[in-house]
Amino acid sequence: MTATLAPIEFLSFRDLRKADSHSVIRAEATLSEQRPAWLDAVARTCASFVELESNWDSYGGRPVHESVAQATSDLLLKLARASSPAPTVVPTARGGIQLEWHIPSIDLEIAVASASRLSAVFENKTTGEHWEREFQSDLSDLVSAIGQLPAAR
Amino acid sequence: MVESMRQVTAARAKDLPEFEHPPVVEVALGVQFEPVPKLDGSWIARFWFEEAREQFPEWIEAPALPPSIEWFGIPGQPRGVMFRLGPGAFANRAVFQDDSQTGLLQLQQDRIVRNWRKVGTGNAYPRYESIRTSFASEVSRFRAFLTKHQLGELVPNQCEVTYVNHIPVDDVSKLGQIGTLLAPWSGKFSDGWLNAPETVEVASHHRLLIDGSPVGRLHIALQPGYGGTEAMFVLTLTARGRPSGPTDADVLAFLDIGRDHIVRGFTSVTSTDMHVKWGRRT
Amino acid sequence: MVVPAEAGLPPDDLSIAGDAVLWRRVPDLHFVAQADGTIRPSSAAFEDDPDGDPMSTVLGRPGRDPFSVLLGNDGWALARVGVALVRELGWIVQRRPTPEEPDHVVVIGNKTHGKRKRIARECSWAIPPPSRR
Repeated sequence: MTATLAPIEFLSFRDLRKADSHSVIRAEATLSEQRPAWLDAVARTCASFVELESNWDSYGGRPVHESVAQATSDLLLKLARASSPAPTVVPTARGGIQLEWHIPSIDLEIAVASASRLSAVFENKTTGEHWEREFQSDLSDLVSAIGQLPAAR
Repeated sequence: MVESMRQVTAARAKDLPEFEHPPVVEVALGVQFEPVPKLDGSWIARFWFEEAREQFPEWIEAPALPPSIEWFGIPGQPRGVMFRLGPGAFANRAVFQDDSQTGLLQLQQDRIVRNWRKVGTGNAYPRYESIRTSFASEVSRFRAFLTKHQLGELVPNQCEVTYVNHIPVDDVSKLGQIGTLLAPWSGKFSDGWLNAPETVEVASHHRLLIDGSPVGRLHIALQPGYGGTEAMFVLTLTARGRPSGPTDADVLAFLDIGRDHIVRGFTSVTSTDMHVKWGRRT
Repeated sequence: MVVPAEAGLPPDDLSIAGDAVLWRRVPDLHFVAQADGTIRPSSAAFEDDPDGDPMSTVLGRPGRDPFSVLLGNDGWALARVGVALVRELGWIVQRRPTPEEPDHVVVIGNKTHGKRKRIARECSWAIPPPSRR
């Protein structure tokens, strides 16, 4: 979607299924063969965090912003492989989302503070690789970290 | 002190291609920023009333646009947004329209966009510099509004420039013949088995590089379309990326880079025959 | 081990002994399964308040019923964090009693992701998640 409003009907109309608010519509499934089976469920979890009440954690926790839920789902679609294990998904007090994988040899946590602010902590106990960083535009290290996650059973 | 974007003027590169009558029908300059949760519908309404109503007296509601961020380092990433929260999930986007319906200012919790669009056969393209000046003014006013009412900060994370071009064709049957329009398209199949395409869509994505480092992308998309009863090609170019800093000057600098890439990209991807038709000056 | 506090922090309240414990509520949304099948809090459970106030805890006084800290959220859990660990991370603790919570203590310091992760790993349960009780 763009911010343009030129009155035009495209001959190649893309049909979007109608859905209730806060449900997930999957549009343009161009790489469905590489999509992890858990992706829809995780996207719905992200969407559900938008409905959290203020102070949901008793410490002033804010509901997740819609754009963060959207960005997290999009990020997983870009980064996760078909064989990647499912993350645990948790909301953060500031209205972000955190994705976590805790596997015997690998520990990875990705924090999505907003659509453009990502950070992660990664540890591979086998190789000794360990880092904590914020991402401005290059996600190569995240791609590498997710690639090291063992395939889901 | 709120920095005035108007003080930073665009410098048009001398070798930037220019056309007498380019087929552009819409130009949009936009800034995505970190969400301002306090900027709810009532505050957007107040901004319209206090700052925008005089120039943009009409207000239209539209679904909010999801964020669109240019990331790098992801091999073979799918293009576009693949998941969409349901229509009720996002706060709305307010579209403020001027009397002529050619000028728009769009505002949501994480984005502000200024559009110029052609309506009917009138109103020639006012040129980028004019739209830039308007946008600079509106962003300054918006930033000052946020500060005045302690709503939060405008922290830009992406800037984008979009040009939409309409290239009419004589007949809908010619919508598969893009070779006369697009320079890289030969239209030659390896054998004669396939009949001529009914329609063709093309998309390409190019990195914007500064000092060898990617700062954004230029997206080029060609689609067939109808406007009223007229068949046409719709050629859309969008330059999007992260500004080098948070200031209005940084935002303007990226918009200028984006516009430069769009004009050069448009010239590069379209055929020289079409350049003659559009009255290329430089 | 004595670790200097991060620069720029207010004075540490040394009346709170190093072997004291702090309790922190953990909502069920922050229960995370580990590789070994145990459930630990997410590192996200140990952030400062979104309005900027430092992380709130309750001093785990001997004899105090920990369930009183859950504020009726029976499906939640209560993490136990050692003050020694807090100081090892370069943070400080300050008493900030309130009428509702006289044992209120705040933890002040830069809550980096890595440090919160360490807290999540090394804390224990004062009240475990319901499925583990």
